[in-house]
Amino acid sequence: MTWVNRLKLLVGLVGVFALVAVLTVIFNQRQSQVASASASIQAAEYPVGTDYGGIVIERLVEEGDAVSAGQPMFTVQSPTLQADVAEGLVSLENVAYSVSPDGVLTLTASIDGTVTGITTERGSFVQAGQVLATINRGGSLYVSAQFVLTSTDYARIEEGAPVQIVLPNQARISGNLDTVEVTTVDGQAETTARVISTGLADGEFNGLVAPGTPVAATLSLRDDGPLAGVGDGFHGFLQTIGL
Amino acid sequence: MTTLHPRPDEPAILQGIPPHRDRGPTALVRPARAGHDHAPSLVLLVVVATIGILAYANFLLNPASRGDWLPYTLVIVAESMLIFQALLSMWTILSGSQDPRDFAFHQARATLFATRSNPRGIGSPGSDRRPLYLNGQPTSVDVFITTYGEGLDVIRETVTAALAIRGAHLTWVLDDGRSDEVRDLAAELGSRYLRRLSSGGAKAGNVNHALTASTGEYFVIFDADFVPAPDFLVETLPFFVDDKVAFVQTPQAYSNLHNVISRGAGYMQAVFYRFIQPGRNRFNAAFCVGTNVIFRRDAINDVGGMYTDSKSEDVWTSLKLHERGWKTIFIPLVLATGHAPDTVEAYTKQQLRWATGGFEILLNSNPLSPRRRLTFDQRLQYLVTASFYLTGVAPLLLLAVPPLEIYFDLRPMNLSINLATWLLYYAGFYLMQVGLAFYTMGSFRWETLMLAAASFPIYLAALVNVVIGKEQQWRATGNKSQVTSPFNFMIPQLLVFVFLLLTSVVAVWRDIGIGTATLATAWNVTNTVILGSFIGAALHESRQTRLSFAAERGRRHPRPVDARHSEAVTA
Repeated sequence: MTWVNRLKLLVGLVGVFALVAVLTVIFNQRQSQVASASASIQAAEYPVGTDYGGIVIERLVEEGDAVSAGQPMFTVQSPTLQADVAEGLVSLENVAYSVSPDGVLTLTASIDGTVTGITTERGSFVQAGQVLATINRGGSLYVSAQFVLTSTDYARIEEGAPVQIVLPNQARISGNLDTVEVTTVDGQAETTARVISTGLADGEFNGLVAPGTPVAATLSLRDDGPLAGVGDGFHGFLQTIGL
Repeated sequence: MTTLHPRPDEPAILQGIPPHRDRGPTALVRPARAGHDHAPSLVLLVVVATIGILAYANFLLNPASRGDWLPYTLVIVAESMLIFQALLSMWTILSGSQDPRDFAFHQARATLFATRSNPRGIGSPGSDRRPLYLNGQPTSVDVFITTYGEGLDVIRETVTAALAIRGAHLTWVLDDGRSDEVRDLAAELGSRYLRRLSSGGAKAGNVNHALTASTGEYFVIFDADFVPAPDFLVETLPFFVDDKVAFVQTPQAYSNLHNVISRGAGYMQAVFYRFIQPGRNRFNAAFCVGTNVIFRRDAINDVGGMYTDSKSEDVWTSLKLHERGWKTIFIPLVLATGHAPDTVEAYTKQQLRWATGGFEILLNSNPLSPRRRLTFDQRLQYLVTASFYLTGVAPLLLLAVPPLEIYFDLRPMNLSINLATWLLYYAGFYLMQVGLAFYTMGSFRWETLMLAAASFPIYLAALVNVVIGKEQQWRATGNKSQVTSPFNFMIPQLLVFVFLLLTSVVAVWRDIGIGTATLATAWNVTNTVILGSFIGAALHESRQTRLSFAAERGRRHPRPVDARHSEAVTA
């Protein structure tokens, strides 16, 4: 071969080796990751209910309103309550509601959060025990993700494992595995993971971070392969240079 | 079934035709028919293969079997090209059942040597240089042998055989190599010798230059390594009794099928010359391949000489002739035997030249364009010719599919398709094609498949060259003082081979990790082996070249074969 061609071949070979190396690291990376079959943002929910049946005489909040603990939400006129108050069976103040002597029940928010799921309107009758609205606790957002794993891969799930959350607008939030529940179907571990993240602030990303938003979650498994060190090193390198 | 009909005393094979002997003048025997009805089993096989192709196409295009878009697109694009070519070539094969020789031909052939004193044209010993008559008029024929630095022994054999062709003719050596040795050789053998001052227009320019010096009504072109049979004119000239016939093309057959490259290349062309070209007669789209062809001078004058603006002057000249309404004829009768490219370099250059010609027509002169004055049949056939080399690029796309699955888990087909289903459809296409080849050619040569799979860089280079309008430059060869390695011409193949090999290793490692063997691994290993065998052939060639070069240096007397080797190669 001519020297020029030898040089070309050499450069080409270096290129091919580099390409295969990068591809192998990517492949290995993928081997140590698993994408969710389904995932969505969830929040800790606190139902607002009434202990006494009666007529809703005032609705003080709208769907989506932010409320703070103790803020009045509904007032309910209840004859039963009026009777109980008259007989001195109930105290006038409670964490969830306050009662006036004339039998008007004021339901208050028990925690800070956002109002969702209002089921009733002013003037309607509510039963005792009925839930009138739900409060999503502020700062309690988490991701619930379903993964279908082989038993080997299930064994590679580590507590606190990093999870990459991708919002519908492709924004990425990193989180960590909190708890895992599993059921086995056809020998596959159908895992439901609860992922917590400090990046899940209510209303962030133009309102995308909200309960119910579909997301994609990628769970990192413990890397047992021979390229584990290489893969981590490469990953670390990418992070160092800011990719 | 159309076959290459041998003369009665010669075996009917394209490969390994024995050297033509001068059998002495005899009365003209009736020629074997060039085409007759296809054997019913061939028709059946073609129909079954067509059904197989359609089923496979249906399977691929079924939305339910679609996988990830990237590999799926690669597969669809590649397979579409293959399927299109396969369908149209089978159609062409089935069309080739007609013998181009009509009554007028036989009449002209019988009276080729007829004179008033010898009305039946019966030959007598030593009467080989009798004048030729067509329609009762004496005709004149020039035989051009184009040379460009070929070995003296090769030229000597060709010129000797050309001089011995039956019927009066003038033999010219058109030397673009400007070799005084060739000039002396021509003088020694008694042929005319022509050398021009420029070398513009390559071979076409050379022939055009010769046409200004010669006066023959018809002219024959032989490449320097194609040894004609004595009956060349007897079998071809009578066609010109039809005033519309511009040229008669005969096959290129090869005598040197001694290694993997030459067998692969030779066999590839055998299919073309035995089945495709005869079928093209029906479309009036048989095209010239530059050698072993006899032209009517008036026809070439009509299109302003041989086409000089392309390295594929042969196809372009045919196209111009067809546009002017000329008729062309191909006969599947071997009348000249040459050398198939037997080195990677020769093969690469030949394929690059041909593919460039095909792509030039496709991109610069679309045969479907209304500006071309062609019949619909001719448009179709030129489209097939022009797009044929796209199938050469298809293997590259298919080679990329298994690595995509191995590295990225991207699958061309839906996961729910099981292996048996896939195998069934796949076999419906490919096994039927192999079966067809086996039936028609009597054998299936793996070398052809291997070469076809390993040649994609050549066709890709041709495509890129045509698109960006670049002329491929090779380092000057013909330097006999240096040994050339075939690897100079196969760097892309080497790199792809290394890539596939490493990918195979990763794939096996991956399969061990997963615990099951995958189809992707099987394919990738197969592809690696196929490319590997090409590299192996090149290694073998490289070793042979080095050995023969050493031997040559020792003796200072190159044998003909060695001379070809060392001339075709460079450090």
